[in-house]
This record gives sequence, C-alpha cells and structure tokens, in this order.
Amino acid sequence: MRELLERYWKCETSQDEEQKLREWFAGNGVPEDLKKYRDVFQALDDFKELKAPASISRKAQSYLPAIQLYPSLKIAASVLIAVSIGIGIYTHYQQEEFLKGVFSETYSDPQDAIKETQAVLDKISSSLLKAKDCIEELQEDSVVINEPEELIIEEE
Amino acid sequence: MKKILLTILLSFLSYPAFSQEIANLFIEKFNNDDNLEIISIGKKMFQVMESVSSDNADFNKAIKGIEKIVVISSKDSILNNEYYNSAYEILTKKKNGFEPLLSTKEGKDDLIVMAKESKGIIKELVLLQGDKSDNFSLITLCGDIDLKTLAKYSEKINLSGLKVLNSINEENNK
Repeated sequence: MRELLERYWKCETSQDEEQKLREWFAGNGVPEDLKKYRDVFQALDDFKELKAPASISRKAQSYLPAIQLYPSLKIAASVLIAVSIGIGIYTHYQQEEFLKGVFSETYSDPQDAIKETQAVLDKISSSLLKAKDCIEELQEDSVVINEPEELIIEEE
Repeated sequence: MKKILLTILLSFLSYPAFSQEIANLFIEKFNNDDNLEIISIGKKMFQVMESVSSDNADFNKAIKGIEKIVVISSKDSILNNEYYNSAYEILTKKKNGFEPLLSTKEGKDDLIVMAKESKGIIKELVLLQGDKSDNFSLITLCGDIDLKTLAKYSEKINLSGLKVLNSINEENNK
C-alpha cells in the first residue's frame, strides 16, 4: 500500500487503485506514520457523496439541450458560411457578366474605332489646351497685380 | 486548417475592395440607364487597330500601352448635373486612388483630369467634363499610359493641347 500511495502522489494510479486506497484508509490497519493522510482520503469519499442543490441542478439541466445542440450549431454555421460565400461568388460573377455586356466592343470596323480613338485623343488635347489657356491667363493677371505703381512727385 | 479557411474567406470579402475602373464604378451606380451613351474600345480592338494602321507609326506608338478606352456621355440636361456630381464623387474618393492632374472652369464648363498611378506608371487617365446642363462626358483610358508618348503624338499631328502634358510632366519631375 505504501507503494500505491507513492504512485498516488505521482498521479499514476488508476481509479480502482484509488478506490483501494480510500477503503484501506477507511479501515483500521493504517500505520501510525500514514494516519495523517486518512483525512485526505476521507474528504475524497465525502466529495463523492456531495450533491448539487436542487436550484443549481435544475439550472445545469437547462443548459443540457444547448450543449447537446452544439454540434448541430457548428454544422449550421459552416453551411451558412459556405452558402454566403457561394452567393457572394455568384453575385460577383453576375456583376462581371453585366459589366462585360455594357463594355462590349462598340465597333466592329477597326477604321471606326481608329476614328473614335483619334477623336478621344483630340478631345483630351483640346481640353488640356483650354486648361493651359486658363493657366496662362492667371499668370498674366498675377503679373499685372505685382507691377509696382508709378510714383508721381508733384513739383511745388 | 481553420486559419487557411479564414484567410480564404477574408480574401473573398476583400476582393471588391481591390481597385475598380472608374467606368465600372460609375455604371454600377446607374444600372441600365438609357440616357447614358457608352462607347467602349477594348484590348482586342486595340490589337486590330495596331495591325490595321501599321503605316501610322505615331498613332501606334500613342496607343501602345492603352488597353481600353471608355467614353460615357449624356445630353440629358436634367440628369447631367447628377451624372457629373456622381462621377466627381467617385473620382475624389480616396479609396479609389485617383490623384488630380488638373482642374479648370471656363464659364459653365468644368474640366477635371485625374490619374491613377501604380509603381510610377499611370494605369488609368480620366477626363471628366461637363457644364452641368447641356453636356456630360466621362472619358477613361486604361492600361500603361505614357504621358510623354501621348504628348509626342499630339505634337506630330498638331494636337497642341497635349503639350500641356509635357509641362505638367516637367513640373512633376521637378
């Protein structure tokens, strides 16, 4: 039993072996030097007989259905995520197809496309020309403002 | 495994946040609006144009990096204001990544040119023009836009307005 006790302190005993220890310490054949551990094993026996008060027991029981549902909730959440991803991909694909339709080639004849491209470049350049004119105008105005006034001295 | 799935999920969620072209963003707002006229010239047509106009080296050089041109316009005087304001709002939103190149106003005509850069290359050049009543136009060029090349093209075919691009470029380089 001393060997069993040593193994108990090292947490190497099985439940049956612990039960043997509890029964041995509950008996009368315990050596004097080991009697100090009797209370420990007696307490373990007492804990086993403890029951939760009725109110706590009822509350614990109310959690039971939720705990049992947990695996189903996990599956439901996974399915929901997968469906959301699927809907997102489908919506994105639909949007891509819509934009492809909107921005499909306008011209089938490359000559028409060339004319339009040249017109775009022309539009960009003429717009930038307008901007350049505005900048030059502003620069001219700032020069006028900065010109010092002439000092006129009247002779008496 | 959970971390991998979460990473995949987050990458799907963040996909829409990746930069979209201004024309796409604008059209998504005005779904199936019959008042808008859309002209689109895509990558394949640019390849065809390049082969068809092989004798026009300047034109080919100018369009070399361009992959797409979209022109959205409207002559609906009632809705032009709304179109212009919406396009302006989209262009000036920081998350869309456009930087102003120039902005002018002449009479009722507003003109804004903005560009989106990536690694020093202009990926999208946008011209928004409108006078809030008679006209509205949104022109976008997508691809690798070389302003210097465009400027050289304009010089060669007397599109003198693009010389302004030269001066803007020089100012930017300063």
